[in-house]
Amino acid sequence: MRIVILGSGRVGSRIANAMVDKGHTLIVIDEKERKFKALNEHQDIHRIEGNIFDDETSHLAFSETADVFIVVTGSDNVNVMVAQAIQKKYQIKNILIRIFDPDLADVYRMLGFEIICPTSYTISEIKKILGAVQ
Amino acid sequence: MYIIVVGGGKIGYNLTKFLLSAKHEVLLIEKDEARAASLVATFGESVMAGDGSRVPTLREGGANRADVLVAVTGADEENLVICQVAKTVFKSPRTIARVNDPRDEGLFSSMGVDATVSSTRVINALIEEQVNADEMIIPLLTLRAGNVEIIEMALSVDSKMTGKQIREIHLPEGARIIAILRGDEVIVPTGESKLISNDKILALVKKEVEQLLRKLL
Repeated sequence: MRIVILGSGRVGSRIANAMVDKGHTLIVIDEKERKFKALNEHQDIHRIEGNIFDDETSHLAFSETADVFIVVTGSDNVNVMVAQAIQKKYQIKNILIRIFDPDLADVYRMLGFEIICPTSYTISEIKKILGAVQ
Repeated sequence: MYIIVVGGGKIGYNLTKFLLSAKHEVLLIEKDEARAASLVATFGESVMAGDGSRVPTLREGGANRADVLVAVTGADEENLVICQVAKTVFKSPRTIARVNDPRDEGLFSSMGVDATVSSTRVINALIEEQVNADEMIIPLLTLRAGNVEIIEMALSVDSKMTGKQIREIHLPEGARIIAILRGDEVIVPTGESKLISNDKILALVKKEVEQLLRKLL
């Protein structure tokens, strides 16, 4: 698969490192070059330094059709806007959006997006543990 | 009308000031606590501190009963999310977003935002039309499917309206002067109010008579 990741932070870089070992091709985009430090040196991990809203950057990333686009910058608002812009421009079928705010996550699920909400996940894990100790 | 304005920068501030003077019920939501506090000093209860791109904030602000929601923060992604949350959760009948980067405009209109206002685009259009600065017309808000606008207009230097009372001016059908801006002062005009040179006016106009009004002033 060809996987594009926006945001090379703790989550983005780890997904890239894990998926490249499974034989996938990764394109990782970040505005800050220093964020690529956590990425493994690998011929199938391509780094793009730039702003996704610049045509130059997005064309570099999506000139070849991507199978999955994973949007994990630190800002919920940026993530949903980028996802919609890229979906409109390149008709990517599988887009995963990280949204920290559970209410906002619900809104964009209602609008038909695939959302990962770490906050809800953490809460349910804690509930599970609390359930186990009771 | 009940109007929620999100973003208390220069645009949000002046819009709120104007909407209040036009006797609307207004709530201005500002994220920055310090900025919100200073806005409270001017607008009192019409200000709420909070992140307007979040559901609980909009709920607390009464978004479910708002007739219009205007998102004018400096960040396009914030303005988009505010309008989409308002549409999806609170079924807002009308959402208006400020677009800071003209490249985002197409995206906004296809994503559930009813109208966009881009100052970059307005200024660019003015430059392209080579309009003189003293006859500059800035559409502040396009209302109801773009047929009615609130515009700011400066009296021309040789305007025949200088020195006249509002009641003496034969305004075209579909145009109302809703405020006179004189220096830092905002005057809510009556028939007796007089226009003097260097005045600017805010007018509510139907698009088809905008040019007529412009000629008149």
